[in-house]
Amino acid sequence: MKAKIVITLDGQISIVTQEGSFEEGKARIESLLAKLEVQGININLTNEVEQHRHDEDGNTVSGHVHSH
Amino acid sequence: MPCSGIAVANGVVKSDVKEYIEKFGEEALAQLLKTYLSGQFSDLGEVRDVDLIGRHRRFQIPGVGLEIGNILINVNTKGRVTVNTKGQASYGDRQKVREIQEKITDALNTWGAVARQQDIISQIKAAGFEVTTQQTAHNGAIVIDVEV
Repeated sequence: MKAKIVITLDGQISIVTQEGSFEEGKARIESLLAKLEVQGININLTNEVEQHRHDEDGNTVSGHVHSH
Repeated sequence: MPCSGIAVANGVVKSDVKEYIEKFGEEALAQLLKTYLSGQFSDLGEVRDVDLIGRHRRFQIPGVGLEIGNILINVNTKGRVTVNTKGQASYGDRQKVREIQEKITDALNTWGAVARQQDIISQIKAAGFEVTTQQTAHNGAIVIDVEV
């Protein structure tokens, strides 16, 4: 499954899956985060892994990367 | 237009950039600083290595010691930056000292931040994930495509 990851200079990280279902993507992201923790990279999630939505309802995901 | 992002996670890496500055070691840090200062403050002359001796010549000050013009610079791998004149301040030196101190501090933070980005990517690869593309955005953010 393809994912796009953005790492800013101030240490913010954003992971967005690009295909598949939300459930599958959530599981893959959680697996990635768990493996990174084993490797010594600890990431504090600002929220639970969530389903992507557009900003029409005013909810913004900071650092989010659109591929379209 | 449909969006291809399905699941989204946002977070902050816990590690501090100072941890990465410390990993540079004094020799690499000295080289980085010399290159940086030579480019930024070429008007002050050559950047030279110096042994910085503490008051009353009782001890050598740890960290990188550099001299440019009449300005002494001490930077340690904990990220502490000390800049001063050799007791012979001229008109404008105070401003120059402050400018050098601020620029070195900013540069250290940027170098540490870049090292942290590179470490995260290395650890993603080491964890067995394939990174297919890597780009750096205008704001310094790194964007990678990964098979997760």
